[in-house]
Amino acid sequence: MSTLVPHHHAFASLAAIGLVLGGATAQDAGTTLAALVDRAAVVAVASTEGVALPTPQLAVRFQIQQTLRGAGPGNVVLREEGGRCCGRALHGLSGGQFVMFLEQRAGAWHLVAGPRSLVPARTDVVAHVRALVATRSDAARLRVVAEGLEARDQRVRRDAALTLPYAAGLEGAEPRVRGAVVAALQRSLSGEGHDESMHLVLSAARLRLDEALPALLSAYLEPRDRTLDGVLLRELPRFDQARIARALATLPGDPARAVRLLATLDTPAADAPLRRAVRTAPTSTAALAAATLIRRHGADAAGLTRQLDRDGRTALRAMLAERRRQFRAIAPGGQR
Amino acid sequence: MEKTAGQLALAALLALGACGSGGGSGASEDPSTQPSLTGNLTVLDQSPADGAVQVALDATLVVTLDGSIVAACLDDAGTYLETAAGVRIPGTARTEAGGHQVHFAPSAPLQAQTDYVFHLSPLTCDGTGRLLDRETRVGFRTRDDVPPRLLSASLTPGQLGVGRTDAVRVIFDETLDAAALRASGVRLRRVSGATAAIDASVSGNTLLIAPVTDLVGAMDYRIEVDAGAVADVAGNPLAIAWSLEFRTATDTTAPQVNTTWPTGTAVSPRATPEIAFDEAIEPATLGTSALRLVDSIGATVATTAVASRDQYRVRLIPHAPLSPSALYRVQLDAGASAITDRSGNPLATAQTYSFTTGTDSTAPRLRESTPQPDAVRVTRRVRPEVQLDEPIDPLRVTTATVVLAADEGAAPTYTVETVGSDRVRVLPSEPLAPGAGYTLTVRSGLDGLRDTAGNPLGADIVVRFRTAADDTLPDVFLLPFHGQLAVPTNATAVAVFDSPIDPATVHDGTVKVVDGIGGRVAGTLTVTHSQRAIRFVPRVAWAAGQTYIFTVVGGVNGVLEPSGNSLAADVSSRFRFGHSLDVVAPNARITINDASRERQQHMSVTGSGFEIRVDADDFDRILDMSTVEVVITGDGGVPGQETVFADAIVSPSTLRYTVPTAAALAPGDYELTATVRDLAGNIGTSAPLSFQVRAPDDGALPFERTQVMWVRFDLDRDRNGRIDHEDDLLRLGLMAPGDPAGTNARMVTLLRDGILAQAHALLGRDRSGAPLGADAVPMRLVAHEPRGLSHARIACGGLDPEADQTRRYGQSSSGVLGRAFFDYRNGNMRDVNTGTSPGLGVFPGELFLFEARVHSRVYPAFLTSFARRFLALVPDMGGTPAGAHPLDAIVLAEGFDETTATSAQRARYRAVFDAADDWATAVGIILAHEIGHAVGLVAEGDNPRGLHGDRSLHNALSSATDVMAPAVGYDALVSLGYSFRDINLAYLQQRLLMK
Repeated sequence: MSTLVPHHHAFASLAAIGLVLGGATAQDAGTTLAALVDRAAVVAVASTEGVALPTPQLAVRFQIQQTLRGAGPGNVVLREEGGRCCGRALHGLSGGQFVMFLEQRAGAWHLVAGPRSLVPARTDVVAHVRALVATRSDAARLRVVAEGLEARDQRVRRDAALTLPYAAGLEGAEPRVRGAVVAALQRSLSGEGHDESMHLVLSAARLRLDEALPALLSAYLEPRDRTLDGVLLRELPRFDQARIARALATLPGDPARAVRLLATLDTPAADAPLRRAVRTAPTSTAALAAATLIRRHGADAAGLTRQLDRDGRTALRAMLAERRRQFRAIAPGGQR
Repeated sequence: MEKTAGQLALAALLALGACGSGGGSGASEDPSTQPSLTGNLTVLDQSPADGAVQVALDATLVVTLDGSIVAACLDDAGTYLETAAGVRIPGTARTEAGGHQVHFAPSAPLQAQTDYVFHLSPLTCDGTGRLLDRETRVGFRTRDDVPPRLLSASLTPGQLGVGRTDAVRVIFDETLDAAALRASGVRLRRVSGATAAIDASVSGNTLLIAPVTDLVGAMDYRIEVDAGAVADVAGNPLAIAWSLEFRTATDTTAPQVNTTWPTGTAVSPRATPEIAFDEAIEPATLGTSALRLVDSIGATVATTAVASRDQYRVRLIPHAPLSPSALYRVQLDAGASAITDRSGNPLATAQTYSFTTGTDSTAPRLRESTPQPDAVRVTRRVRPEVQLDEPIDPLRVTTATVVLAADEGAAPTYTVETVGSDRVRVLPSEPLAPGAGYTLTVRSGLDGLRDTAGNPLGADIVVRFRTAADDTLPDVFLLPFHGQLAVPTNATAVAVFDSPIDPATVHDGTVKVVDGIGGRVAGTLTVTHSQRAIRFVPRVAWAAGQTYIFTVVGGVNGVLEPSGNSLAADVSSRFRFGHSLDVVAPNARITINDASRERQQHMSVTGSGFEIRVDADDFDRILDMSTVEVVITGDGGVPGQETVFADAIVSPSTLRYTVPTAAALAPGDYELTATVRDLAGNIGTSAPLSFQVRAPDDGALPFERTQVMWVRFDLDRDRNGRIDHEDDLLRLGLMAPGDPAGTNARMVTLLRDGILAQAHALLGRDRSGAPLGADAVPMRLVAHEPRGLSHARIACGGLDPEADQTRRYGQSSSGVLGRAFFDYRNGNMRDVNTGTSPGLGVFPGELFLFEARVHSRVYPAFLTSFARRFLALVPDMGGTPAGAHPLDAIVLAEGFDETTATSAQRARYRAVFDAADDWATAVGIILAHEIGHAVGLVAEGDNPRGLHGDRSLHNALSSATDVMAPAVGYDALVSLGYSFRDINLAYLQQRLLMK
């Protein structure tokens, strides 16, 4: 490979993270701490001892100080291609302690998943990994991961949020786990740890945490930004739809946003606020509301269309536009 | 651009002899001879011209460009000739005129009377590597001496039961020339002889013949089209006359009266009573025995009955004015003497309507118009109005009586409305054309405008005017903003426009402040800040706790730009004062290229094209954005504060100024500061921001010209005999083994193009790859090998080549979704990221394996986002792949119309294409990510040497929607709106430089 890699070239790789089932075999690059614990043959705390020049390979010797899982060697030398390599773990290491997730391939030790399996051994990280290693059941694993949601260490906290939506046995989680998700979700939606919001929303949906509905509806109706719009519109219908419809009865906030959410619900309770929107909302929003009602209840839907305009064309146009809505990337209709 | 030995070695492997240096051997180039950076080729001329007719069959197509074209690039697949029906025509493309002309000579003579389209590839390039970057199409029609031939008609010869109001469509074999229609040569007549009035028109290849009035029931008719009555676009007239006979449906239904006019009292003695029917009536039956006007003693008033053109309405015109203050009746008889419809069916019942005249017999007259007659510089947002001297009949305010016409060009679309009782307003659906003449006509006469008594306008009102010759239209925001409460009592009111206004139009008639009960507030108006701001200072202090309304008047009589353009309508802000003063200064922050706080210092930029941005916030939310002052100090001449404000885009909390080429800064060190006041006058000052301007010719820009990346969807790197892209689609159920419905090829293309479209969108380009504006990234992606053009390559499809290639559903993913050479500052524009050792490119198969494995472990307890889309498709998940479902032959076919489909068809269509769309979106983002690495993202360290990348060459502290984040998940890819981070985008757009 070195003959093909000019000096200034390096590799850049994009690893899939999260979405790893706790207690399951992780993908090779499954990079949450929980996934790495499940995947690694050896989990150890080690410090760097020596770094060889990258000609042609970069080699780093680690002294194992503490083995958290498995029976590893007293020290280990890791090797990678020389040069700057994104997706490689060793470049730029100068010293310090790390939690290492190792596996053996072809008689040599390797990191399970590149740089994300070589984690600075901060106190919270070591404690969290130790706790993950010690779990023996799905319930115990869920407890540890849920505790991770409250960690101050960003890696621990983010990994916990990433792990939870697909963790085994989540539906039957203990009340303390459910409570931890609600609390983390509220923190996240309020702006602390905003990047974890999407995964916490997914966990809340899988748990059907109706107690989180006020926070979720608030996040949708009065968004700090619109990043989560797609996720919330997709996941909110998994919650108590009648309760959502009642919360939207007065079309709070921006009526257009309320109607877009109402249009995703499949409950008769949504009809009343939709009818209200037909009467009171601006034209395009009223048209979407009418189109939704027409789709559910048939063509005239008790004269709805005539409330919009004399011949109902606005609502019908909205309905046809909805059916014809553009895709983001593909163009089956040939649109340019 | 500085090159490493490695880069030069790699470049030497590629495309020797290709056009453009592509950066691979840039050391030999003389910068003084280079065209502008990343400038594109321009088409100067084309022959035949687009839309030409009567083109010779042996014509050579010629396109003239402003560069010397490299002959080899004309072999690109995007350069070809085809018929309008899509049949490729073989031929040879070559260069002439020193390379400045592209000649395409068809291999054989073209077919006569045929429409062709010549495509010149966007990858056409000159010797310096400049691209055309947009497809050029030239449509033309060959020599055509053949008359149009009639193909079919909407009626068959001798057809029975034809509707009495049906229009007849006559279809020809080619497009007709609408202007060549000779109406007298198209007739509809009874077979027995009498001619029926028709409206004939041409659209495309169709002649439409519409009866003006209802035809007679159970009657034989003949349509006649004379030779020469229509002609094709080449001017060939119809050679042979054509005719067709049919019989109308039997009609035994009696006509009904729909409406009558006038009714009530105070009717004008000059009124002409009208009766409207539900179908056309027979004018020959309008004798006084059938329809008459009688006075209060039953005497018949002498009248003439006149039917409208469509014969649906009848008007009784008295021979003399009626008596004032008298009762009149309109009587319609039934039976043998009654009015009949066109088929002879009489009114079923006799009917009588009455009205009483008054004394008003005066015609309405024009009081004033807006704009005034012969006005010039009229705002393009004008809503023309005429005011009459008395109330008018709103039923007569229609687009037939009030007509707005353009003196030339397309007719405007508009509606009309009555304002109050005496005004008529025209509402154009969009601003009128700039610098154009228009005529507003209000029709007079019996069919024209009339007053409420029924007196018609005596003469047409005609108002001619000319619009402002200015493409742009002003906008404004007001401060305090609408709805604001607790405004400090020491605030002023400010209106900030997006362009200079005419100070002469700013006065107390166009800018008004009233209190909560409508009382006018006296004050002083000043126009400031490059004539973009109006400031109102009350003569007497604002009253604490009181509400005020601040209004800037729009329209013709409002605040105008110097060109004459105006706001569309009045803009108002209603706000309430509190009980305290504001003594807290606002905060101001200044940035370059929208860089975040952590990345904004010591940026290195070119002299122009970068953006200076001021963000402000205030505790009381009463910023006065008209006071923003940007101070640039440094080594060279700098634009002054007024210049910056005049050209800036200002919003209620931001100011953005892109340094134009004309005001480019000289190389050197500079510092920026900004100040902003709130409406109370408190001033906030930003922290200073240092930056450096450098000349762009020292290799610091990543792109020397638009770079082309060949995305290799065509590779079979796992050597299973099928290209990896198709392997992906088979795994996903987006195509079916054996191609049972013949849809696989379409799906392969659809997904490929969708992936490119998503990546192009992130690069500021449309789905075809054409740049969407000046900020488009100079990177074009193609799915086929560019000919004669140096280019980079990246693989897209399949599994990670470094992992086991035999993995199947349920097995582990390698976790690596893509891998590419990191190319610092894009030193090599010919990167090759298609190798298998190391494994390079984009690996969608790994994303599938990962998602499938997650699904297999949580289903059915939980349905992941991936499974929600793909459960119905992935064979291993129990789905039916696209192409294997009974409906797929219909719903996957091109031209499938979702709006007319059955619900089952629509559901399957959505199942397939929503999944395909998600997949293309996700993979397109990953592709953009890997391409980012290939052009220098994300260099480690701070500006100007780095781009705030981390040790792994991804963005440090990346957000959830960052294309260059080190890791992504499927949920985020399909749910969140991804984009390049500020600094990354500025680098790609060449708005900052690296050392």
